Amino acid sequence: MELLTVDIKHAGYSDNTEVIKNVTLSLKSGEHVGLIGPNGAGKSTTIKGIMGLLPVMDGKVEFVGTRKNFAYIPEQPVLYEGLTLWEHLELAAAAYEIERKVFVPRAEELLNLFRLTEVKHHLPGSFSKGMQQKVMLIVGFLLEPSVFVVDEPFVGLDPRGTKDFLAYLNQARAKGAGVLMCTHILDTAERICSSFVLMNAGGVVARGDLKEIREQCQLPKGSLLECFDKILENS
Amino acid sequence: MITVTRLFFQRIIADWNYQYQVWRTAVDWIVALYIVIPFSAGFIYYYLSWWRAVPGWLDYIPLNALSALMLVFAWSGTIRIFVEGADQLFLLQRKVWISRIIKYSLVYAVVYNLVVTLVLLTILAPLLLLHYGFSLQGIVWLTILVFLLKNCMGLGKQLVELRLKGWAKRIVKLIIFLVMGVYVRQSVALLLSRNGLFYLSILVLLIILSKLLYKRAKLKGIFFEDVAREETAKLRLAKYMLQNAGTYVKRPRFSRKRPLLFRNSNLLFKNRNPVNGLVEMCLKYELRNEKDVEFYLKMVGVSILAILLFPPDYGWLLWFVFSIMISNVVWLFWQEVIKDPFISLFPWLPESKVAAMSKAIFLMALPGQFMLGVVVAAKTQSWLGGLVMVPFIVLTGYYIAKKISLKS
Repeated sequence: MELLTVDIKHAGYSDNTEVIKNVTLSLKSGEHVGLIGPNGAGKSTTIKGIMGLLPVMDGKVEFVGTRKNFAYIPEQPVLYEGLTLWEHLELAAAAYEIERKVFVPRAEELLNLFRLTEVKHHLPGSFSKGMQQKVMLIVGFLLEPSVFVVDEPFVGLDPRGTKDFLAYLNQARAKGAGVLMCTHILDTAERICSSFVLMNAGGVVARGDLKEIREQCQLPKGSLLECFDKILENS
Repeated sequence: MITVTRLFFQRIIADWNYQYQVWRTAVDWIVALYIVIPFSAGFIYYYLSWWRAVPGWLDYIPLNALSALMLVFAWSGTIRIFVEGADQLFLLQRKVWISRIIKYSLVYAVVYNLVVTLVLLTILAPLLLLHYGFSLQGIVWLTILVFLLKNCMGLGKQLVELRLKGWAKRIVKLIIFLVMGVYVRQSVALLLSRNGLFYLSILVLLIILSKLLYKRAKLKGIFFEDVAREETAKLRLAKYMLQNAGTYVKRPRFSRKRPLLFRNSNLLFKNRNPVNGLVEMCLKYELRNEKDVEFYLKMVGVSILAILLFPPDYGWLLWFVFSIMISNVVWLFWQEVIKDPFISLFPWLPESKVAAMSKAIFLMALPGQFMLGVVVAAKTQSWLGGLVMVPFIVLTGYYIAKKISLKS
């Protein structure tokens, strides 16, 4: 079942600068699509376009699942310095009107999973970058959305945090959620993503699962990194 | 080859250029033509008229109010030390360079304070001469007093901020402010009565200033505090303009691990919905924000002062004007909170945001409006009338909040 369809003709930050063009992709239930590309390829801009955060946008983004809700986990943690961790979760729960009897145990479980229970009444200014990133993940998981849009999730996460994050993401996928993930960490992406969209210079240059990508660049046993390198050389 | 003197002046010039560019972004030729030039012309016209005859409203402003103005002027501003974050890579090993940059910065601050004090006293000169009975010589001595005071208070405030944290810092700063308030009041009275003790008070300030300058120049281990303060001071104007243009500006960090208020993330509203969620977030954020609370209390304090200075007949009219002002200021607080990127992670309905804005403005403005109401009731000696005014205060506050939220 399709959860998200994206068809961006062109988009950017101002009328006279076009950052991305002709970007199409779709996300199905249980899928984990990796949006990969070099610095400045337009990955984060595409994500912002999907989230409706771009001032200039010509195209269509549709969340077509039954629940039509999504969670966006940005690359840089964006948290209120003056609100405690728990208050961030309360705000998220209020925004989605999650019932209290559902919210409290779910939030406690996530805090426990990411080992942040001890600091739930602390201000995030005292957290490390990794801890702040974990808060963003918890907010995302709390909503139990049908689509996860995740921008560079591994930056700042410790190995256990990464493992827990991936395990929880897999659980969500098993329940029918889809994941669109923008990342630079290609060896991890190769291991966890079911398919890839490779971007360069603001457009899509290759797409498909690893087998299809290998065929496109004629590297039958190549790693994602090698295929990525070859495609960029030729594009 | 670059020398420390040249580097320092490069930084000063770069800062002036930067501030000028920030001004230019806001004051284009249209703003200049329709606002700045007419306003300046009007100001010059009125200023020149003050030299001929002092305005009538000055009768309502006692000398103590003028002393209070001098005190606030002396307290305001920052002693800037022109260090940058990158200095830790390039200059921190060269202790002589850093030390000289600090010394040059202190000299620059003293000269800068002299200039701004001269500007203020030149503006006030006709009022001081023609209304408050100062002689020309008296104005020169008053200028010296305010100049010394501004440097002493700026340095004293900075040393307290470097050494103390939290409530201790605030209490010590308040004590300094109050003590200096009494000092200014007495010094001005001594100056007007041509008492020789005034010159002693100037001498005391001179000694304090030299001690403070020496202490600040020799202070070690505060490089990062100096960098942070300098960044804030440099960006103050830009931040103000960006906020007025509706851009989100990241606020300074909260230094506590756990908040003082609502330590266990206590709920303010039992009914959990998007409107209450947003209001609760805004109230907690603002109550924990020391700077905004301080600003709010200062604003209420100044409003109370104005109500006390004006005749009782104006009491409720002033209350209404200041109530609108308070609501507008808390609207600015709301704008700052609601523009945080965390909010954009969730899909809020526009009507939820408007309802939350109205409720948040009403709740944040009400304590200030009540305080002013109490002062008006006390001044007019009509406690019964004041009691009757309670529902009026609540309803008017609610109405103003509603109007502001619908307007934006």
